[in-house]
Amino acid sequence: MVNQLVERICQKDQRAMSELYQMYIGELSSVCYRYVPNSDDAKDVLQNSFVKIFTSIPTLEYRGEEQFHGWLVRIVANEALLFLRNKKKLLFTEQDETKWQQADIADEAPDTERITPDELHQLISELPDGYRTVLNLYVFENYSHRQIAELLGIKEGTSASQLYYAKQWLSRRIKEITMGKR
Amino acid sequence: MKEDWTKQIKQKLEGHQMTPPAGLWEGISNEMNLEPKPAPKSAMIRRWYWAAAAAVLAIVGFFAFYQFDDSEPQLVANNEQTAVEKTANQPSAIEEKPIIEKPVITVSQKPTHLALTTRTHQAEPIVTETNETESMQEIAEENNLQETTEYQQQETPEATEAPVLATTEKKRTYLPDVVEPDVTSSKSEATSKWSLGLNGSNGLLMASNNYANDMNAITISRFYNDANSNGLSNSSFTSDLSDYSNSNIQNSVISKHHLPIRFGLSLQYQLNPSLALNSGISYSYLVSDFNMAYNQSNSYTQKLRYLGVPLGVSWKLWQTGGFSLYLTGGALIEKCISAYMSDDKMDSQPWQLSINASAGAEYHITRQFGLYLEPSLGYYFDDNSSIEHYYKEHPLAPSIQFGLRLYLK
Repeated sequence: MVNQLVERICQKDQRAMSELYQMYIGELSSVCYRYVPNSDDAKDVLQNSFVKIFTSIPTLEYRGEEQFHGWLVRIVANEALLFLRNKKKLLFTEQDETKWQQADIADEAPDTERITPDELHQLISELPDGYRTVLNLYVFENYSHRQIAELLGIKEGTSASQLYYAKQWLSRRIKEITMGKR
Repeated sequence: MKEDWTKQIKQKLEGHQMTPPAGLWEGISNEMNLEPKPAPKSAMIRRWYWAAAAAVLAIVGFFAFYQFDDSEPQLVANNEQTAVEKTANQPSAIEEKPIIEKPVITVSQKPTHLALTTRTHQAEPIVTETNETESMQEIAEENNLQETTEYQQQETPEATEAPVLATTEKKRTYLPDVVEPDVTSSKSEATSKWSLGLNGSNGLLMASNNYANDMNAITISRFYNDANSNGLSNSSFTSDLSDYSNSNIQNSVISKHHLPIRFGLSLQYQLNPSLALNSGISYSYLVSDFNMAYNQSNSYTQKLRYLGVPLGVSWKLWQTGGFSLYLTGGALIEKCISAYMSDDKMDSQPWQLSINASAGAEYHITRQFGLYLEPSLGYYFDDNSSIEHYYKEHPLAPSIQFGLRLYLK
């Protein structure tokens, strides 16, 4: 199914492009909004992503649907990062680095079962840009702090502290929401 | 060393979907020079099917009332009485031609929500005074056509500003408020030579006989407009309801002009078996989006609304059975009645003059209904304003119109 679409897109079949778009746009929109909550900005990012996707597909070695899916998500995430860097929207809140190092790892975990994906997505989009970006890269893209530091041109420690505060904030908000549900 | 709960949130958002930003596919196809997305197009077409069905219903309703009124003796009495009043110093009765109520369409910005209501009201009656000695019996024979069907498609304030469109109050009168004695013709002519048209919709369906009028520009071919050239790049007959034109102006403003939407109502008078005159009133809606290439958050939507009067001639080439072929030519003069850039009102409200020619094919479903299809080509003169709009990009605009014509007995 997807491999046929990919093949047709290689042949510049515009209908196939439209089908591929329809197939993945919901999920890729979610990914994009997770990095770039503003709708106009997200539109730019997604537009650039799809242009890149369609133009890169002919050079892509198709290795199955799962990998293709991962590739699509990565393109969107990269475009989003590019956007955030170009826009200089990444303001990292530098805080006392010792604090996160001493942070109690046994902090009570929030009850993520009781929160809906939409609520969770909304909470992530409410995070400050710096927190959100690092959280996205570390948690969702499985980057290490070293990689994130290279990618964003920040110190490893900054990446780790951003993540720490992002998690603190998120945990608190999830708890607030789940408390409210009781 | 990730805590479990962050893994959980990752899992939670796996496969999560969100509604894409508006206009995304348009942007992509614009960038990639793609055809518009088939799926929304078909959805749009379905909308036009609904619009077409609504138009047919309205006309059928119109006729139902029309026939009903015919058999109402009170109508005649009323008519006589008022006729006498209006011509107090003329002892004999005045023959009234059929009083025709024009179907009125009010235009919605969002044709997706189409509500059909049937109302009665009076608009631009066509009245003639003829021989004063005509008998009362003849008056009785006359059709007092009072009913109007009206499409009301979520009226916009702009739409109701139009003088004709504004008469939406429910009233039933059997004589026009204004008698126009200079519009005269014999009874037999009066009852057979007029036809009415209902125009509505953007694109596929033109429920209208307004064929001197370059109605909705459905682009048969798409135009791509780059910095240096305008080119007709695709000659396939598509009914794309969106046109993507992309002009890269020096300061990198990307403009996208949506297809003009035009609605109206029209009137046709048959001069002789092959020649007919057309006029009417039209309402056009032009939307353009402007985006700054490097700062997409700076985007503007321009909305222009025009009221216009078409004038034209049609010439029947051939007719057999219920089928006829004809050519039309005409002009349309339009005045911008409202111009907005995003939420700001623009000062300039230019006039727009255009000429157009079309070839039409019409099929008579019944003696009184004609369904037609008209590919046409219009030329829109430069309005000498600073406003950028569809017709500036495409002064020569091909379009295709669908419509319904109603021939009065």
